[in-house]
Amino acid sequence: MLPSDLLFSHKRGAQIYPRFLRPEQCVWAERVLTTIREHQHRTRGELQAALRALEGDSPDYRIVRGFAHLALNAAEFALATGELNPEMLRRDVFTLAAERSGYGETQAREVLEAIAPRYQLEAETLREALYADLPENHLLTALPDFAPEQLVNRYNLAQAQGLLYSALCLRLTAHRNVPGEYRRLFQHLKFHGLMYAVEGNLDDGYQIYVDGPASLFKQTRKYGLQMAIFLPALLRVSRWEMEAVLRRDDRDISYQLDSQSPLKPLTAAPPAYDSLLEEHFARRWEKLDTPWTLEREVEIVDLKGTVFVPDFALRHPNGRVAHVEIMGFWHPDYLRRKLDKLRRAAMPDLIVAVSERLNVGADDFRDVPGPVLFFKGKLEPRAVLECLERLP
Amino acid sequence: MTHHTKDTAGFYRTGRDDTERQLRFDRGTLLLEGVAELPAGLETWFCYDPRVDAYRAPANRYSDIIGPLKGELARNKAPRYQRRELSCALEMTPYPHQQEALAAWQTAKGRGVVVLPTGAGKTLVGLLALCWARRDGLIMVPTLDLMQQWYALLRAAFPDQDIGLIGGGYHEPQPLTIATYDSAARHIERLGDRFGLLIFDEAHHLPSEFYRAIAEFSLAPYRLGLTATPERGDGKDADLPELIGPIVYRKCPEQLAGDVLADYQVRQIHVDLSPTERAAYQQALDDRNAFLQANRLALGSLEGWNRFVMLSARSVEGRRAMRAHRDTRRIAHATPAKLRALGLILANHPGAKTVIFTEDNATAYEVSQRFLIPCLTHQTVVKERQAILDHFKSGIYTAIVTSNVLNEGVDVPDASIGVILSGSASAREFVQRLGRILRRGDGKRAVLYEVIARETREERVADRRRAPPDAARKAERIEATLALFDLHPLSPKVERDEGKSGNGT
Repeated sequence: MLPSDLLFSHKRGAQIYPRFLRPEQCVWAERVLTTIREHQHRTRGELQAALRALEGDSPDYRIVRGFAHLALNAAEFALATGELNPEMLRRDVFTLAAERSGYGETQAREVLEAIAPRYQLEAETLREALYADLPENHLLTALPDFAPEQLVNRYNLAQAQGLLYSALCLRLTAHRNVPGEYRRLFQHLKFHGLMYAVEGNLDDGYQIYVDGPASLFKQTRKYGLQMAIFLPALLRVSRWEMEAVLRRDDRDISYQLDSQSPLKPLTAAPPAYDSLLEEHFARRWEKLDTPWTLEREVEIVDLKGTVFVPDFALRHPNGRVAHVEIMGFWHPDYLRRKLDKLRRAAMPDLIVAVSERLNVGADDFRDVPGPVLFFKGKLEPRAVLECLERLP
Repeated sequence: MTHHTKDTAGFYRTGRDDTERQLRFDRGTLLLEGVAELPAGLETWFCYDPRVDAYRAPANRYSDIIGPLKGELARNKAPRYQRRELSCALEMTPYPHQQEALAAWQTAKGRGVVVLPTGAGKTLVGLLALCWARRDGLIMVPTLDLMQQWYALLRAAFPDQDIGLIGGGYHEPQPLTIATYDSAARHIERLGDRFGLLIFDEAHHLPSEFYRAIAEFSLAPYRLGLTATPERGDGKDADLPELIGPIVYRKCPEQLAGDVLADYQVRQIHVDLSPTERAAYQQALDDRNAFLQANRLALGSLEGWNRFVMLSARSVEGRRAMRAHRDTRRIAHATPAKLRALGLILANHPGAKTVIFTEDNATAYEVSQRFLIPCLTHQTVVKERQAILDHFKSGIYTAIVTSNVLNEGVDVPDASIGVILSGSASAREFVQRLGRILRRGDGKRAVLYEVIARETREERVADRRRAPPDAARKAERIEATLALFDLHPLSPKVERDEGKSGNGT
């Protein structure tokens, strides 16, 4: 993320757009990384002067600073004096100086001469070492570990995030995504202290309205930063659109972004399935001779404060749809919450497949309207099919 | 496939009990759950929240809500703070104005702002409020120095309590906690239910867009604001009654002078470059220009300057030229002359507790390295900051130099000499710097020096600085114009002292 003064955007009508890098501007990423590399084991002060020199009078200077900001976030600096602890040195020197009763330049030299042998350093070197721990005197020890293209990706993402600092609310539109993507999306929203309401259905897609607890009373930019931090999680979803309402200079303006944007996720893609159990089940379903097709584009059930996203949808050519939820090996707390969700979702067309290794029994599913199927080891697709046929 | 039945005795059957009416704190708001319809009379505060199918109210309305709501609730899970009997281990005899301030705040049901000048003991009013409210308390401070000051005070006052810190590298919430405004605003969604009393030190900081959430997202029924200067440039001090409470008590410096504040005088010292410095300046300029010419550089443009920076990093001559360039700038800002004046002042008051104020960090470090005086800037880490202030109070150190970290109300108990080596024209800053020197001491008569470079913009700055009426009326100004020459080292008596006590009563 970047500070506001390094952000670029442009308005057109009631819309605002982040300004992503043009191809010819990307060369700065390489130059910034080279300058940083050249300053390994030199001071932060020197590096900063060199970066200022690099930007020169180029109108791109804020791009250079943006690259430098993001690259240096991933760099490491350390103290130049090694064993010598500047804070201890200061205490020694200042204490002795104060004992002389009266400050002056001559007295100061005498104090340094008196202490220098203890540190085996020249008096004037000691004077320099007094503040070796100031950030500008630190040495660059570890370089940022990414290639110019990665820095460009981070930069563009930071521009897209920056507009959200002044966001009042988000409307996300998502359709035909796999359950894991949805679940992680809602987990991230929750993790960042945001709230959501979900509308829509499997065929037309879902609208997710995002803001914060206090947004109910008045629109506030208080949650903008959290929305900005959340944005990278949205990039991990395959198909989405986002519309944010921003408040700038007391006016509301719209900011739209979608999965077609040049933004790329920074982290590696998570596994396609949440568990091996699910993956095996899906593979084996393919081999089954049945008109029911297994789909990973599923329904989202808004449970007011949380969502239920089943693992699979089953679709028949005649238009019938059912869902499957597989309960494998879970922690008791998670299991308790899951059971609560199943009761509240109250989906009659949901087949719940439960591993016998879980310490649950039919009693626990009394309020769950759909069929419950206990299984040993692997879940047999054929057993699910039998359940399907028994569905009203 | 058979349906196994295991007897788990409903172990997992803990779903929500929809019949129980309860109030809980949810990230800066209050959530009323388990009610199909809102009880009458509560519409003023509660809104239906379709996102969670419950009723929600702003947390800072807690004390309004809880009265009418109490009978309706099966459980009130909102406040997580405790009643806490605090017995103060410090022998304190409050001044009359401190007692009056506390009484006024109590009359306002523990919600209000107390305005007292710097040095009048606002912190003690806060301590009295903590003892009176008997609730877990959170204290907001704008700077790490104030955090240290409160920390030292609360530890001394309540030796059996753990005192928590949030900010400055710490995140340790305790029943009594001190937080920076920054960190409190960042964490208030998780902390807003844990304190029954909020104290806002330097409360004029609160109404900013980012900080106000601290007040809005807390349910604390008791709130105390402390400040010398409630007014804000942007007029948002109008929101203080909503966020904390009305101004319940106000005294200005004149009303307390003679009672609390010590007498003081202001002396101005004007400085010039010495001939030696002029020569050094010329020499440095020549050195630099020789390098520029040899490399066909001109500093008139940004491009030229940047070429200079690049070239200077590549050779010994280049580095030397860059240092010469920096010397010219430093000398032109009259830094050497000011440091010389400072040397004179220090020599004039050997052993006197002295605080030196500079405008920028670089000058503060320069003073520190030249005279070996401990230095406080915003970069100084918390522990060292505390150690320096402790040593200064106990007399191990007799002087400190600081850029601007002491600007707001930090307690430096018995400094008797202040030196403003350079400064900006902010009126608040000047009042606060004076306040520091003016603290009550044993028959102490404080002196505040202003060192001003001749024929620079600083002369104008100094005039603007004296604009605040409180300070100006009290101070009788002395023009002590000194030209500082190497050839004629000044003896202390050259400096004329026509100072009279600013307030003889």
